[in-house]
Amino acid sequence: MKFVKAIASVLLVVGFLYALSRPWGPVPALGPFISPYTGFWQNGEIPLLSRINDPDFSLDSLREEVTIRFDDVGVPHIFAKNNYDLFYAQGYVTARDRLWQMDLQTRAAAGRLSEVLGARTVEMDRRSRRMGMGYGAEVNLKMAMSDPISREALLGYTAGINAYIEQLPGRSLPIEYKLLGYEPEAWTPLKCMYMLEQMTLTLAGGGDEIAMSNLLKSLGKETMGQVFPDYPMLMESPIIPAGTPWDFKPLPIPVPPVEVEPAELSFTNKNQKKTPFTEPIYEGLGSNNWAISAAKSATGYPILANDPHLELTLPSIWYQVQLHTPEINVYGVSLPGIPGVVIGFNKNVAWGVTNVAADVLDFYKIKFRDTSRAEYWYDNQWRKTRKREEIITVKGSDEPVREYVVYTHHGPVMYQENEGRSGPALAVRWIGHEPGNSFRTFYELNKARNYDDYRRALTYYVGPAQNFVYADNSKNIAMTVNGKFPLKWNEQGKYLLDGSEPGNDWQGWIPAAQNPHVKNPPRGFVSSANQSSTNPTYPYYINWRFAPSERAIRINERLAAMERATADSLRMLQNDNFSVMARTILPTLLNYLKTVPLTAPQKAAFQKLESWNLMNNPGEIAPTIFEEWIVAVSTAIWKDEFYSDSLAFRYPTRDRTMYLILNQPDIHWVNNVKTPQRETMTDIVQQSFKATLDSLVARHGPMSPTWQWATVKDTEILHLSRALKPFNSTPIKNGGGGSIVNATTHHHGPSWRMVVELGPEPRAYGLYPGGQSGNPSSTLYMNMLAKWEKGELNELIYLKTPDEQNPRLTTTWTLTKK
Amino acid sequence: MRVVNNYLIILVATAVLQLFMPWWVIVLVPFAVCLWRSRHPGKAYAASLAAVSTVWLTYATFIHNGTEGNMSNRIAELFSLPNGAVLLTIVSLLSGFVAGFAGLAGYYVRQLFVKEAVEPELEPLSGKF
Repeated sequence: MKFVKAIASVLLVVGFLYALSRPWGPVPALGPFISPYTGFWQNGEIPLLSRINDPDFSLDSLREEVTIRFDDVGVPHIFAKNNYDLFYAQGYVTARDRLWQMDLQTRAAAGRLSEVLGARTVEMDRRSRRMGMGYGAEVNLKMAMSDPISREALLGYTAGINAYIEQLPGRSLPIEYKLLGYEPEAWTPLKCMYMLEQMTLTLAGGGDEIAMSNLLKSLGKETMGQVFPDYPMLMESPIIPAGTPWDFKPLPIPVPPVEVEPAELSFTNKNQKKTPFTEPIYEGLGSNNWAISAAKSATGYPILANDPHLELTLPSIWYQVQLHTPEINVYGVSLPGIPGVVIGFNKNVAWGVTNVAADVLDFYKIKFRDTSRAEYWYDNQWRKTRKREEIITVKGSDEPVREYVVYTHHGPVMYQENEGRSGPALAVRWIGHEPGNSFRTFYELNKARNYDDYRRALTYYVGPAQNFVYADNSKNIAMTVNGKFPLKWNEQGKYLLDGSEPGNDWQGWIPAAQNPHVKNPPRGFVSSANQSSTNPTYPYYINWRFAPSERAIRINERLAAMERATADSLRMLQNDNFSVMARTILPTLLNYLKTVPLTAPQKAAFQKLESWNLMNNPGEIAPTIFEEWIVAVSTAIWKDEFYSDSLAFRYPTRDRTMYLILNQPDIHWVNNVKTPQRETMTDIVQQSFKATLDSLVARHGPMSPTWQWATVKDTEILHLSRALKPFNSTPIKNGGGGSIVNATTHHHGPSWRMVVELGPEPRAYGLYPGGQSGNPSSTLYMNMLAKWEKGELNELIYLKTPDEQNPRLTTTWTLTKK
Repeated sequence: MRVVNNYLIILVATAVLQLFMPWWVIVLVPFAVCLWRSRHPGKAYAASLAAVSTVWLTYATFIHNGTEGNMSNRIAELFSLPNGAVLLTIVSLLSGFVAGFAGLAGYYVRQLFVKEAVEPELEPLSGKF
């Protein structure tokens, strides 16, 4: 009996030990997780106090002393004596605040999520591998390490991150590591390259040529030209103002191969919608930047503004930092994982970026000789492929997933023939595979003193192509549509390309000096909002479609009217909620409704729209109706011909849709071919109006304050995991929209807002919707959110010396060589 | 008094050892202490439970209050609990519950090796001679 009791009780305890030491589904191993000594308790930050974390400490491999001063929003102001120490300290503090974010984003880029998340991310990882992210990161690393300046920065940054990881006790690991049950691994310079690849993927990793080719096959070349024109038909206000002279002798434009046979290019893909790299680009996602000349400003110097729009997450994609050495003194935002400042200003210059929707990703149809895929047909002969073994380790599985990705001279084969769909194998030619040293661009901008420095800095840049706005205290303003752009024949890559035809290859590059640019234009300002880079007079082909023009039109109208502007004028423009789309199309839509009888609720909605001031303000109901209605109208016009359950299709652009409504109301596309009767524009407008109201009533009840735009738009900032709800933002009530300068939507929006007044001393303002700390329990986790929601900015503290006094500075760290 | 001493020994040992060792010290220590000097199953369980719960409750309460629950409240939400204070209570009780069984196991294993009289002071040793 004694024996039984002893055995039973010991077994019971062993059972407890086992159960508490292992994860159960999404629940981490509870023993270590709930212990107050090692678990989540240790991640609770004592408000204010905990940031004063041993202010003097010595670190391995630091060369000289570094001083870091923190301000009241948690921004580190780093003072170093050389570049290595500067980036070492940047790596150290960035890891202190954002370690898990850096880990997750580089894992996603490298296709290594499954190592820590298990089988559910294998398909995501496989796509990253097939996209050649690793190949791109490696060729970029080779280039960066062969340049002494970027090499030193990458090594310093890496050593700083690793110094932080090495001293980090297990109990202090970021909460996400504890929840997911893994530990950080050492940082490497390659991971910095993966971060750059990830940005290139986000900003230049899309394309819709599969959908376009399917449409080409069903509609023919002539119709495609009418429905998908290469320049907006209704309205545009290009980045480089019309009339800017092209002061260069262009290279000869390549000649397209004799005949592009549409029947050959079809590609059926049932899983199309789930394949992110070929998703139609979401219209209205983008960024704004502009600079006004000294003549337009109240300060007598230029003023520059930038707000890049991205998916909003917590922690934020950006991290503010000031970097100071005897050679550099720059303030701005960095991307955790990349040394230097990406958007910012120094004593003499300021710069910012918006995305260029250049077509720098093309798919090529590949014909293999046999199933070994060792050779493919190109230029009338068989060419050898290369293979790259990809091993995806999967948590909870003994066997890794192995795959040989086949590389042609175009690039990796992303889709194998008839794999889960019918159609040919497709290789991807992508700017992310092109060796470059984009870090050097940012480094040179960080220490730029004048316009020539700015132009020289841009020559290092490969991708993702950006519109670099510039202003300096010598009173210059400028804009360069910058990146390495392939030299293409007109419409090359609008549709799938035949990979066996040499005439379809990228034919070299547009010379960097011939990238569209403008300096001190007569209108007194430069601006960009992802719209067409130039009007059709520019000799080279960059893409057939850019972001819709509404934001650009509004910005340019307001800047043209601005006089004696201040930083606050530009801040208010960043928060402008005016709908150019509504101004353009709403009166016409309402006129159609005037000809038909309306029910009482429809009349009420009609009146709301008719009396609307066209502002997408948070408390308005009209934008809720309009934004949904315009989508319904577009769907009603196009869905019958431009949607298929089995094939990837896409709708024509918003500009094309509005052009049709205004100028071609009787065109055959309006009729719904799926119904026996013949629909007119009046039918379309009326039916979609009814459908919009029905849908709103179904979701929000009869028209009431629950229909307010901020409530329906429902902007919400999710934690990067997208799964840990308690780490999400508090609810956000603001205005804006996809076509609005204040481009806030459900999950996207201005990820950083900055306004810089140039002058003898710069004065700058900025913030992002989040906080410097990645720890959800920190008072600095989303401390900037409330001001961001209201459209306010923080003044940015730009220090000139390490011991300068400022009431907003809190703690000082002194780092010394061990 | 022995049960009080056992309580204090377990309390001090787990409080200190957890600074250097993993969480399962809260199992190991009550087991070892009760193996060494426990004379009664109920008291072994009670002393172990009370000691370990005290340690976790005290430390976790200290952190919970000091951080204004800014992490514990969020983790509570993640586990569908109303707030960090409830989580605090559950965590402390759970630690005590497990430690209690460890103490009990220590006592029963001890019974395999030692014969204990009703009046246990010094009895086991003398019984051997």
